[in-house]
Amino acid sequence: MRIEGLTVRYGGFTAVDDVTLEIPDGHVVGLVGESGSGKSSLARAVSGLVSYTGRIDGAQRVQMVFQDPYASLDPRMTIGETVGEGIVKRRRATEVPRLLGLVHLPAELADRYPRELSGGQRQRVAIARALGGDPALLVADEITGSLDVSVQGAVLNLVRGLRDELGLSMLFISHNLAVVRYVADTIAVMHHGRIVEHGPAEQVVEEPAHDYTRALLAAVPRLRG
Amino acid sequence: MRARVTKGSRPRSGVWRSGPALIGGVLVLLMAVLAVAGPIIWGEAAERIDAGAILQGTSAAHPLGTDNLGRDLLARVLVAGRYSLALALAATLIGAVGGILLGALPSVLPRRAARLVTGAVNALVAFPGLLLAMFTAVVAGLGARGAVLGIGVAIAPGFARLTQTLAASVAGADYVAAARMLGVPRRRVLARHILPNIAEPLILNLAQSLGGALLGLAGMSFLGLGVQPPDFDWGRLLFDGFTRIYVTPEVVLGPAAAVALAGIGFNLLGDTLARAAARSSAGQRDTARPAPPEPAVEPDPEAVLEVRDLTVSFPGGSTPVRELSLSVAPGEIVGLVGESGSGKSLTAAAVGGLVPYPGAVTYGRLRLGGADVAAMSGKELGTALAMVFQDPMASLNPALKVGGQLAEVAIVHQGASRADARRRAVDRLGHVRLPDPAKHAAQHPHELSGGMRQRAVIAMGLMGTPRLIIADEPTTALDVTVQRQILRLLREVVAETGAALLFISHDIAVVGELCDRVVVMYAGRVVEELPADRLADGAAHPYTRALIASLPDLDTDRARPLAGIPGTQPSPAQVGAGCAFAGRCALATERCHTERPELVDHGPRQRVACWEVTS
Repeated sequence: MRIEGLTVRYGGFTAVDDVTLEIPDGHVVGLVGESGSGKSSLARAVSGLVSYTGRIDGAQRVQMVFQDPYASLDPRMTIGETVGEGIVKRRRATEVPRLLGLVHLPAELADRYPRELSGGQRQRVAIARALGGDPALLVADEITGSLDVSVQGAVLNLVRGLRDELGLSMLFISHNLAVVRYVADTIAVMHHGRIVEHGPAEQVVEEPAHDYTRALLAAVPRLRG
Repeated sequence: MRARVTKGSRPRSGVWRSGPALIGGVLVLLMAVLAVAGPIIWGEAAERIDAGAILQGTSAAHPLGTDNLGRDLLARVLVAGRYSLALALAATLIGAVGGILLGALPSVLPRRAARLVTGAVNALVAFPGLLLAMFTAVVAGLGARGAVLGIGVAIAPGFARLTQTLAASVAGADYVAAARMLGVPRRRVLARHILPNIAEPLILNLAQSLGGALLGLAGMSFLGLGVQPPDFDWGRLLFDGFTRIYVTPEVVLGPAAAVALAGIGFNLLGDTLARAAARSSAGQRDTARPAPPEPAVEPDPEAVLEVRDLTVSFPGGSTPVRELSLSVAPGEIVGLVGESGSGKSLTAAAVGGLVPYPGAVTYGRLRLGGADVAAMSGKELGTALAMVFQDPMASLNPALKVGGQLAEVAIVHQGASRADARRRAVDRLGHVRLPDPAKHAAQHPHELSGGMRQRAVIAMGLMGTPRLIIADEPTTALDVTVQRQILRLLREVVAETGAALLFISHDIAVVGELCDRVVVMYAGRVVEELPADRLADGAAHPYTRALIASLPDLDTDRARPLAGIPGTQPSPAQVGAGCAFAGRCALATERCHTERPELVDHGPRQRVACWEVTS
């Protein structure tokens, strides 16, 4: 999948400015940047949720997982109905348990409602729903941003496992460089609507080429001692 | 983000015990009984023509008099209930169905057509309802059918507008975006996602519209546009009696009272339903502070904040904070860390007297700057304590200029003059390193960036001379780069003012970087206290260690899976007798499940509550 010369404008404001980015098959591309840098607009353009100019090749079957697992599940639908939403009716009965299994949730959860689930479980349901659309690319927009640290680890492990097992391509967006470094093969750094640096994850973290990347790295909180 | 747990909402049954609710319920019930039983009991009496008693006033036989055929008016009023209510119901249903369809259309139609429908609805809403009703009734022909259609048409635009507004808010939800990406057709999105999620307010509106329709129909009949003889409803009886109002006023009394009572009943019921649905935690200040026996330990004169055995509980057995003790020394930065639901924010709220109704706060001791908080006036508490919350936009009034809001603190709390207060506001804004403070003081909150707003909120806290600053997740909504600036600012503020800081966060890395001492909370209790520089390799409690291990940093081995903590924290209502963490702990033994470990000293300046570590 390849993005070329992508620009997103809201009225007079340019959120994404002439971005070119390649996401090879089976790769996880991490996208970092502060809020307002345009990373969410880029994600929504790739997902077909906002209009854009430029070219996006190979963007069939893009699915997205959102930041807030409390807002991204319909409170009036059971987990089974939510996960089965993108699946044809006759295959739903077999597919829903399989998808729940993929995200390490017990099949019994299918009859429950979102309010009965924890934040981490909800985010797994959102991932299962996206996988139900058989995505060629999964866009993950700050999916651990509203989770507790103890749950974040498990969700990140799941994301890596899905890439290894299913060969899933992914655009993984976060403002936390440590999180992105852990799951991504390459990291793209976005600043004021442009991609200022893109390279292998280790290289971007260890030998940042752009000043803004260095500023981001310096800001990551660390334990002393 | 983290504070979304609605901590205790008022039980809905309480709403139904208020006077208006009771009156509304009783009236509607009476009307329902009347509609069913009225014609059965008085049907014959209402139709009995008595040539000997034409156009009479009140008498023993006819309490409300008789009409021009000598029929008893009281019986007719009681019988007319069924027809009046049935017509009102029909009109409301026509209005609701038509309105909801019209309002929902824009979410299924292509954009152009959707605009057209929206425009039409807006135009209809601007039209006076009664005019719309009369116009329709005249076009549709005199009689009950015309009146019902007319009132239905008059009700529809309101429903359409409500549906449209509600649908638009749901249509922006992430789950609708997800459904669109999965290729779910718009019709299905409307039926499965949008309508079920807006049903509640629509049903409430239905109850209120019923009262309106009843009054409207009575009005139409009264104008002669509604029910025609030999049928009769309340409005018709009013119409017939009106010509006699100067001679025998009692003949209009019956229908008028019936219309009024039914209208009031339905409106009160609708109001009650709406209030029952909307009632969430009302932010009332809890004044009742039953205190458990004073603990034997002497108060610490040095501490800025001293909390002993603080418990916060909600009706229904939920106790999010359990016998928590905590002290903060002057100039000290203490981090309070834990997962969402560990009770850390409620601890802060309890110190500031901000626990939402119906939470009950008890404590053995709660002293701020050496004085008992219960004995402090709101003004004293307001200047001695500064609170900074996660969302700076929620702490600032969007309608007021930033400088004015800060100045208000000095005017209210310190009795400063307006000019002095303004000068101090600008000075404080400069103090929190806001560039060009005079310019920003004259701006509204939305003109500032997130980081600037958080600086302004901190400056607001510094308008007084706080002994303690409580910052509840102040950087969670901010970017890492801005977070770093705010952390530095907090450190500078503490160094300059000598105030202590209680910093609450779910992020143990942030806490470790900023704080002197860290207090780890789990399921409402402190499980470990230790110096921040010992977090990396001196943490003793299995929960603290697991929290640190599950945090990826820039050196984490990418080849290995991240550590997590299996299971979930017990809810505030389900904390058992033993250690609350036992269910998720790899070291847990039989004893951990049955007996709760106390917080005991564990090396210098460190305390931990764990059987496996301390024994």
